[in-house]
Formats: sequence, structure tokens, C-alpha cells
Amino acid sequence: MLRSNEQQQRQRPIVVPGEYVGDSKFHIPGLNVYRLSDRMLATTVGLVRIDGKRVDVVALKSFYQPKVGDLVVGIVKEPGTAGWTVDINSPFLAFLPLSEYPEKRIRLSRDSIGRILEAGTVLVGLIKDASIFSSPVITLKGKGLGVVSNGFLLSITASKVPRLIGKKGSMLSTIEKGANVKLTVGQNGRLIVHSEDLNVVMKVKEVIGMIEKESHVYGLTERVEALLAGRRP
Amino acid sequence: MGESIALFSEDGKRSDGRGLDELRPIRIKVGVLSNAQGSAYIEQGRNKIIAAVYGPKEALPKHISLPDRCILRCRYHMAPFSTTERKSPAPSRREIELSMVLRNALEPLVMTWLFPRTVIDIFIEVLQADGGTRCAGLTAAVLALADAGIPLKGLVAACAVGKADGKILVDLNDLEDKYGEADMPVAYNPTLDGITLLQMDGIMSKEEVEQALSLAITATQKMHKMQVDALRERFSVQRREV
Repeated sequence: MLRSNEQQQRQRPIVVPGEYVGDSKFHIPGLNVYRLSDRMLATTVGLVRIDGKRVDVVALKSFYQPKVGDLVVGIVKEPGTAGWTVDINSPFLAFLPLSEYPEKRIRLSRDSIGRILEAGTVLVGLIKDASIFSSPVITLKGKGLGVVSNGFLLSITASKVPRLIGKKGSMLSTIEKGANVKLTVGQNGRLIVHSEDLNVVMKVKEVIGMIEKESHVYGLTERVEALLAGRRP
Repeated sequence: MGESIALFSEDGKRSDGRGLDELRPIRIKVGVLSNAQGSAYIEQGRNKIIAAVYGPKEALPKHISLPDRCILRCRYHMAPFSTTERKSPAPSRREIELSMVLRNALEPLVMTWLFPRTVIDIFIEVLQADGGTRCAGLTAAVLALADAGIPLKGLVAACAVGKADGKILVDLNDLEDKYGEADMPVAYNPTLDGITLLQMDGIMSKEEVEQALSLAITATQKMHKMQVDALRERFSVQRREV
């Protein structure tokens, strides 16, 4: 089923903003689609995906829109008075309040906020609150969350993250097994390679580049496996 | 206007050999800059224009941000080497006005409510000018927005129409712009069937305006097809590499 879907995607043309993608009598607008009287039109450059009545346009380039419960990889931008502003690779800067920092006792009289987490610190957080009215709030309290002390930071377009993870994490485990490395993937399109070995990092980078370019082309998993095994796909 | 210049040859062709309703040769390329989020380059006759888009990003200073939508900031600028005589690089009155006009022409297309409190920067840099730069700049800017992945209601294409020696012309060049009787830039969105830019300089009768407008719409529809092809070309490169 997955393959037939991929094959369909391969044959589908790329749609551009304002292009007709469906009729309101038969479809309801999904991701990157809007309704104009009885027509469904695309809002971004992408590929059409029809799931039952719902029409989506899978964007070929997109921004990360924060959603509650998303795991994100952020970079501390600036320490403030009650927390830190964090760049989460999105149009919106996130806020990490002091209360969401896992350290139990922080004496602000002794430690300045900037000393606890310096600008440029990479961290893995969870989106705790996201609304259109205020900046998204992230937390570091939870399993697997916190400051990242070593590893390499890579990035991918946010819309390609589901393809990088795969169905039930299949693609991610293929990469982890193939390159023998642990990865942390943020929904915001940033990922951490937990390895000091530069060869491994370069291999993962190559695979990520392939997924980013070819996520809509049939037979991606086979090509990723071949690349990881050292064969040119 | 006082000088007399022959804008038409004896066989009725225009100074550059075109017919009355003919566009100049157009070449569009999307994604030409790697540092910008989105970019596009257009050559329309001797016009050479590049457009770049940054954002949406946090609006700074914060007091300029709007709670319910993002702000569009547009800068139209002519390079000092874009004209036959050096142009001062400082923004002139005309450039400031055109920046505002182009921002207003793009704003109805951008789904600004999806990115509250942010700003989108649009830069339109004219590298070589030969009349109709605002229209060509707008055509490139909307492609740069689409290339950046910013949600749009549709694409807009722009073209100037005008009058010279009593004849209605499409896509005026610099000579026709300067010595003609009227000049009317039009930006048209075929998806929404709406006009987002309409200016006029000179004198035309009501019938002439109607005729010019319908010619402009036909010309922008042709340009819209070229825009769609350029965008598809940009994103299908990935497939060809496979």
C-alpha cells in the first residue's frame, strides 16, 4: 500500500500556489489548501495527497509550526529575566521559563541566568504551550530532555521530518542500525547525531540530504539502505 | 514629451521590432540565491531584476509587530549601475514610493494571519533597468515568496500597458515609457481574478483604458504561465538528479 502511494506521488505533478487541487463537493481542505467558492486551491509549492475526502499539499519547503507535545531541538538565543528565548527553527521564538528548567534550586542572586544556560547552548525540549496569541513555551523537564553536551547538529526541511522518521520510526531505525549511531530528531527539522566519529556524521548527513531531495520519489528506503551499506544507489 | 521621437517603424513595428501586443522576451529563474530563504531572477527585455525573501521571522523592534498577522516589508532599489548614468544608491522618493506600492500589491496574496507577530522582508534589486521595472520586480518577488515556502493565495504577474502615437501598447520599454502618451502598470492575479496594482501616468480615454486593461490581463496570463513553469522547474530539479 505504501509503495502504491509512493508510486502515485511520483507521478503527480508539482502544484504551485493558487493551483486547483480539488472540488469542494468531493473534498475538504487539509494542509496547505484553502477553499475559494467551490474550488480547493494550493497555497504552497508541493505534491497533492488525497486521503479519503481530505486534500493535502505536502510542501516541498516549509516552516515549522509549533504544536503542543512536539519534541524540538533548540538553540538558546538570549537569556532574559525569567527564562531564555530559544530558536526552534520556526518563525516564532520559543520561551523556556526558569520554572521549566530541571534544576531544583536556582539562586538568582548568585547565578545569573546567562551563566546557567549560555547563548548558543543546544537543548532538546518539548513544546508545552503553543497558541497564535503568544510565543511557544518549551520545557526541559521530562525523560530524554535537557542540554546536549556533545554530538553534531544537522538540519532538514520541517515538512520532511515525518519521512525521516518513517512509519512507526522505520526509516529512523534503518539509519540508526545502518550507521550504528543514536539520533535525536526534533519535529522542527533539527537532529542531533550522538557520535564523535566524523565519518559516521558525514554518512548520516549524506542520508539526510538524500531524504530531503528524494522524499517524494519511489523506493527511498531501498536507496537509503544501499547508501548506508556503502553501495551507490 | 516635447521632443519628437519615432517610436514606430514604417511597417508599424515598435522600436525593438515587436508587435503592439507583444511581450518582450522573458526569462525567469527561481532559487538563484542560496543565502536567502527564497529568491527569483527575471530578465524582461533588457531589464534584469533579482528578488529575495527573508522570513517570516521575529519582528524587531517588537513594537512594530502586529498581534494578528505578519508585516510585509518591501524594498525596491535600483543599483547604481542599473541606468545609463550612475544613480545615487540612496533610496530616492520614487524608490520609497514604489516599495510601498509593491508591498500593497503583494499583501493581498500572502496569508499573513498564519504568522502573527512576525515580519517578512522582500528585497527587489534592479540590476539593469529598461522600463517596466516595477512590474518585472513584482513578478519576481511573488516567485521569491513562493520559493521561500510562504503560503500564498496565488501568484500575481504584472505588465505595463500604455499609449504611444495614439496606439495602445503592451509591455512598454524605456523609450515608449518616456516618449509615449500614457503608461499604466497592472498586476493581475488569475486565481482570484483580481487586480492588486493599477497605476496610470498620462492621458487615455475611458475606451482606451478598457482596451489597455484587457490587453494587460491577457499579457499577465501569459506571464503567469511562465511563472508556474519556472517554479516547477525549480522544484523538479531534485527529481532529475535522482
